[in-house]
Amino acid sequence: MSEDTIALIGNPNVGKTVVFNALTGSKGHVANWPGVTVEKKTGKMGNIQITDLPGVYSLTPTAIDDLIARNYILDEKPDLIVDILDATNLERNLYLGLLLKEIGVPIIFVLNMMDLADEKKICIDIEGVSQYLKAPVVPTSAIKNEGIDLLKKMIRDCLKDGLVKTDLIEYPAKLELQIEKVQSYIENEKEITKLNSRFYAIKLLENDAETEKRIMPNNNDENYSSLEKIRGPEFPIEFASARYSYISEIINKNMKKGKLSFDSSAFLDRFFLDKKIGIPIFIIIMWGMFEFTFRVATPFMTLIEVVLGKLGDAIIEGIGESLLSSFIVDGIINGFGSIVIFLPNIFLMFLVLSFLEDSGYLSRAAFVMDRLMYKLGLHGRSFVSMLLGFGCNVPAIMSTRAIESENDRIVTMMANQNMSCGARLPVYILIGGTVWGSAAGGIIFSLYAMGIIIAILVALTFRRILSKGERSPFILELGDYRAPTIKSTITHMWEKGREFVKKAGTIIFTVVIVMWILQVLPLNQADPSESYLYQIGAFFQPFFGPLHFGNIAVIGIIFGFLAKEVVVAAFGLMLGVDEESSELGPKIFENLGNNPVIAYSYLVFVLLYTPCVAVIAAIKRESGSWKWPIISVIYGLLLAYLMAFLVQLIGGVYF
Amino acid sequence: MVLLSELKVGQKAKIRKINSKFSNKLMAMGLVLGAEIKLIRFAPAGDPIEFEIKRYSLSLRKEICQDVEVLLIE
Ligand SMILES: Nc1nc2c(ncn2[C@@H]2O[C@H](COP(=O)(O)OP(=O)(O)OP(=O)(O)O)[C@@H](O)[C@H]2O)c(=O)[nH]1
Repeated sequence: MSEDTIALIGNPNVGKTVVFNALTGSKGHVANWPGVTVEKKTGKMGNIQITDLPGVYSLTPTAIDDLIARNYILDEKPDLIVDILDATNLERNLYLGLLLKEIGVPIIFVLNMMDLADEKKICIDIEGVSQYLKAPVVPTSAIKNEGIDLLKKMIRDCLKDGLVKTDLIEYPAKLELQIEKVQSYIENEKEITKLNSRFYAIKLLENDAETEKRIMPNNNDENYSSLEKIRGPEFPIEFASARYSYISEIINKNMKKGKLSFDSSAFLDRFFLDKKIGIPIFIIIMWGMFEFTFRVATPFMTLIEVVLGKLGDAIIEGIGESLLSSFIVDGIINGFGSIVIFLPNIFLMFLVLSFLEDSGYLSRAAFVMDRLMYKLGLHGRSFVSMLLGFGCNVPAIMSTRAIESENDRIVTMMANQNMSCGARLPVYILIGGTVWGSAAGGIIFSLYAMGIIIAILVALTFRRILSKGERSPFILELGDYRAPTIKSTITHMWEKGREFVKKAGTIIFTVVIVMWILQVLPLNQADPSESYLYQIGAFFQPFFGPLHFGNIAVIGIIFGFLAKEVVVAAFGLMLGVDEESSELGPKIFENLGNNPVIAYSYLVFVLLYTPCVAVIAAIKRESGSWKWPIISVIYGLLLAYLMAFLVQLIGGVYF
Repeated sequence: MVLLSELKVGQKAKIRKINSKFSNKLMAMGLVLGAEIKLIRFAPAGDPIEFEIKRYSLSLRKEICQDVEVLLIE
């Protein structure tokens, strides 16, 4: 017997992840949906396979997420669908529920967030709703684990007994007539069964392009022209309106709302969205996020450095200086160190972002910022992607999938690499600290600012190039504010940081080991300058001759292309000193001609040149072609070269 | 004929007609015939606009509001 499969679906932010974790005991497995980087989460409840679908509002695809959810249900035909509804926002949530009923798969409804509904004095007659929906309804407060056992039992029972398909809504007679007609046109098409012909007929009458592609791929035959003839421009809204009036009936009959003395969301919005102070508050929150991230991360980073340094010393002391100890210390520990040193920064940043997201503020930020972002060729939602970029550009690129139009996504992706990611910071700190001492803060700030300004200019430029394409609409729900729980904030942080850890675990570690090998080969070097690593630097150095970068600085750039995290490690290996050593900075500075202007131009180069391979791969996956990653590499290189050159020109290096 | 983009803060109206490329999405979000919609506020920069519809908060750019016809409610 093949195992049963069920799928979780629901509007965004209804607690799907929490329910999924409660059902599977948090033992989810994450993979990607075929062809896209949208994550596919699957897990097991006993021998039942559970798939978590992306949060969607309807089954008419406007973004990739919708398409994935819909195709999964139509193609994979799960044995049971569990539709999670937000009890505090039932009216809108039920719309997706009715659409799902129309497909005709067996379905259970979950009324989640019952605790919040109580708080808001919303009273729901569960039995009554269930009768209207002709399906089981289970109330839960997933975050408190309430109702989960009942849900598990209900899932098992339904899988055992099976649920019968029932139509809920009788549409107005005029529409029913057309549905029947269309059903007769399509009944011979493949994919059509008695069960789903009504669903497909309705979708065709709603001008659903995906269904057309599926059912009537060659749209010049007789059936298609008959369909064209009976379609009315007013049909889609009449279908939608009929669904919503059915929902109104459900709500009126089964839901009562007490008077609230105090609506906290409305109260908070009076400040957060205020005409005068809304934007200042936004700026303060962003500033606070960076302050928090860097302040809290710094001691952790120091600690990691000290511990790894001591560990290395202990090993050398223990087994003596040899090729083996060098491999362990300069290769493995160094490689490991290059990774963990970034974790505090990146994860703290994602922690704050997840907190803001869970609290409901992030959608407000998009609302407040949309006007400006739109003017810059972006979208209110691009804003979050840009912020993520300060942590790591990989999750930043992945987050663009929430943006609907292809063009808006491309523009956001192309601009993103200029947001200075956490991996570039150590280079700034090392060189900045050496050259400018206590004034390094200002220098580093200027680099971040330059990144932002260039991101804006890049966005405007690409927007011009892509001007013909359409822009995403701004249709955004402003959900209630909620007090985020530690558990879900951490879960969301991990979801964002996971990609970085994957990249760190594979690419960065490998690169550091490879660099170490290149540095020790050939064996028995009389002088470090004989090593392959050194030779590679020497080979590429002429390209950077006009910029006065020495060969060590060049090696940093070359390997930084693989992962910017390894730039400093490359310096260390080339010079044969510890990454933590105080000699490192001055030696690099020497390699840059002991000239502050050249040092600054080098930092500008590191800021702007091509994104690392993990980002390139992410752009390839998200944009679906090699075109955009190639463009991003080329423009990055040219821009970095040009800007570094300009810095030196203005700084008087050439005179 | 009044457009959704012409409402003032606090005004209520009923949806009459949608002429947008994104009408499917709008309908899913609750903008259907006869649905009551209320303008809550404008974003600090004047756009987008926050509405209340179907007992929740939805924000839309002015641009898209110009594609929605409404009837004012007194
Ligand atoms: N009070 C309360 N909060 C809940 C409940 N279930 C989930 N939450 C909170 O709701 C927020 C959203 O939950 P998620 O599980 O991330 O929602 P989701 O549907 O997976 O969201 P998307 O991944 O954006 O689609 C989190 O902050 C949860 O802590 C509940 O039953 N009661």
